[in-house]
Amino acid sequence: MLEIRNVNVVYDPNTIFRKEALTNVSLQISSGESIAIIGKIGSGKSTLIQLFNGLVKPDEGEVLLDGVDINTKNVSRKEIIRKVGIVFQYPEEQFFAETVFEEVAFGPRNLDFSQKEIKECVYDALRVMGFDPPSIIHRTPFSLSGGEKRRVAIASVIAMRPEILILDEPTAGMDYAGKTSVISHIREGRTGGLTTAFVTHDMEEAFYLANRIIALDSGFIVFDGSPEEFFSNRNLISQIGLEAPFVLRFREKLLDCLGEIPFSKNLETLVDLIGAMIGH
Amino acid sequence: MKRGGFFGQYQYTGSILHRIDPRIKILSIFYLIIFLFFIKSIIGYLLVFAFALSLIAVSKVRLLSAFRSLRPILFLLLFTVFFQLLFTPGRILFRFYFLKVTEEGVNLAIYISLRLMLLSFFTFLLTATTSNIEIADGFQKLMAPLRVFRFPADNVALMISISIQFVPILFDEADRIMKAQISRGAEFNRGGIIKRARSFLPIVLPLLLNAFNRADQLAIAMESRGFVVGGKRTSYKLMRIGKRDVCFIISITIASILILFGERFL
Ligand SMILES: Nc1ncnc2c1ncn2[C@@H]1O[C@H](COP(=O)(O)OP(=O)(O)OP(=O)(O)O)[C@@H](O)[C@H]1O
Ligand SMILES: [Mg+2]
Repeated sequence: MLEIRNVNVVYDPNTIFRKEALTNVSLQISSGESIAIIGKIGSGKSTLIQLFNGLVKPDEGEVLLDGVDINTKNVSRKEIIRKVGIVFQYPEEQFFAETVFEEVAFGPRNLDFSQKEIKECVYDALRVMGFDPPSIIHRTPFSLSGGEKRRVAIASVIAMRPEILILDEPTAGMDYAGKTSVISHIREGRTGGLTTAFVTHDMEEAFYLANRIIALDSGFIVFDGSPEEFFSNRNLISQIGLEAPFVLRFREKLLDCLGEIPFSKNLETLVDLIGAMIGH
Repeated sequence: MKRGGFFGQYQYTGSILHRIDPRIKILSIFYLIIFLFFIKSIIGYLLVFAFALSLIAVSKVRLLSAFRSLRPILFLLLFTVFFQLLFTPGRILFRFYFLKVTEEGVNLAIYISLRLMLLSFFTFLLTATTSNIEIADGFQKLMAPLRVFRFPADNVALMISISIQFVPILFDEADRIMKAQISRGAEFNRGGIIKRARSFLPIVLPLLLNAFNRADQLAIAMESRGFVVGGKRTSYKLMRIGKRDVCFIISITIASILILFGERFL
C-alpha cells in the first residue's frame, strides 16, 4: 500500500554541503508488516521515513500511497497523514498542551474528527500504550516520567488512527524498563493489526520485533529481507558497521567449538536445547 | 530538498577576503554602510554597486547567492518603492485615476531601493566571507576597550557568540518540531489572524522549552569546565593585523574617495 520507486534525495544541491541522502531507493510496505530500518548514523534512515508522508520530497522517483503519487498537487497533506503516522525521534520534545488529553487529541482534532470520535481515539490510543485513560488524561504531560512521556507521545500519533505507524528510534535514550514498556506496547499495537516500521540502532529490537529488515548504508538499501537471513550474513553486518544480536553471536561462538547446534531465537529455549544435546 | 537560511550564508572559498581579520571586516562593512548615506546621485550608487560587485568577485563567492540574499528584504524593498512612488509630492509625471507618480517619487524610489540593496550586499559580503565564530570573536575584540568604562565587554561578547552559534541550532530544532506537528496534522496558514497565531503555539512553546533546557545544560557544562563570570579570557586563535589587512583598509579608503570624486565629476 506504500511504495517507493527509484527515489533519490539530495540535500543542499549546488552547494559544497551537497549530500546524497538516498540513492535509487525502492521498496514496498504491505499491510500487517513490521519493518525494522537499520543502518549507521547518517545512513539516511530518517530521510527515508520522512519520504513516507511527504515531509521530504524526492528529487527523483516517486512515493505512492495506495497507488497515488503523494507529491502531486491534488493530494492533500491530510489525506496522507490520515494513513501514515510518523513518530519522530524524542517525540516528547514536541509537547505543548496543558493536559495529556489535549496533547493526544491534537492530531485527531486537526483531522476534523467529531468530538465523540476524538474522545474514543484518545482513550483507545492511551490504552494501546498501556495507560488507564481516566487516571492520566488530566495530568500535565510535562510532569510524567521519561517512559510515560514517550508513550504518550506515541499515543498522540496512534490517536489519528493511521494505517501505517512509523517510528524514528522510539526507544532512543531510555532505560531498560522504559524500553521494554515502549516495545511491548508497540508490539501490542501490532497484534491489533497496525502496520509498523521503525528505525532502530538496537539489533535486539530489530531481531525480535520485526519480521522484515531494511538495512541502509550511505543512502543505498543494502538489504531487504527477513531478520534471520540478515543476521546470518556476517560479512554484510560487519561491512555496514553493525553487530548481530546476542543470541546469534552466542550460538555462533558455540558453533565454532561444538560443531552442531540447534537453533532458537529465544535464549532460554536455546540454552535448554543445547543442554539436552550435551546431556544435561 | 533545499535548505534556506539567513545565517547559512558562509561560503568558504579561501579567497583573500576570507582571510582578512574579522575585526577589520566588521569595521569596514560598518564604514561602507555609513558611507552609503553620503552618496547623493545615481552615478554614485552605480559606482558603489560596481565596487560591491568587484568585492564579490574577489571573494569568489557565487554572484547568484549575493542576489539571493536579497530575498528576505524583497518585500521591504517593494513596499518602500511602492510608497515612495505614490506618495511623494512634487512634479507630476503621470496620473492613473487618483494615483499620481511624481518625478521626485521616482527618484526617491530608485535611491532608497539602491541603498537598501547595497546595504544588504555589504552585510552579505561579511556573512559570506566570515564564519559566525569569527564574527563573534571579532565583536569580542572590538568591544574589549569598552571595559575601561566598566562595560561588561567579555560577557556581552560571550552572549553574542553563544546566540550566534545557537541560531542555526534553533533553526534546525524549529524545523524538526514543525515537521513533527505537521505530521500530527497542524496547519499554519488557515483561518483568521487569531487562529493563525494560535496555530503557532505548538511550535513556539516546545521551541522555547527546549531552548531553556539547552541553556540550562550549557550553563552546567560551562561551569563544570571552569567558567567563571568575569574571569579573564584568552583566545585560541590570536588575531593580528597583518599586511593583508592594511592593504584592505587602504583599498577600501581609496575606493571610497574615488567614488566620491567620480560622483562629483562624472
Ligand atoms: N535537512 C537536512 N539538510 C541537509 N542535510 C541533511 C538534512 N537532514 C539530513 N541530512 C544529511 O543527510 C544524511 C542522512 O541523514 P539522516 O538524518 O537521514 O540519517 P539517519 O540515518 O537518520 O542518521 P541518525 O542515525 O543519526 O538519525 C546525513 O549525512 C545528514 O547529515
Ligand atoms: Mg535519524
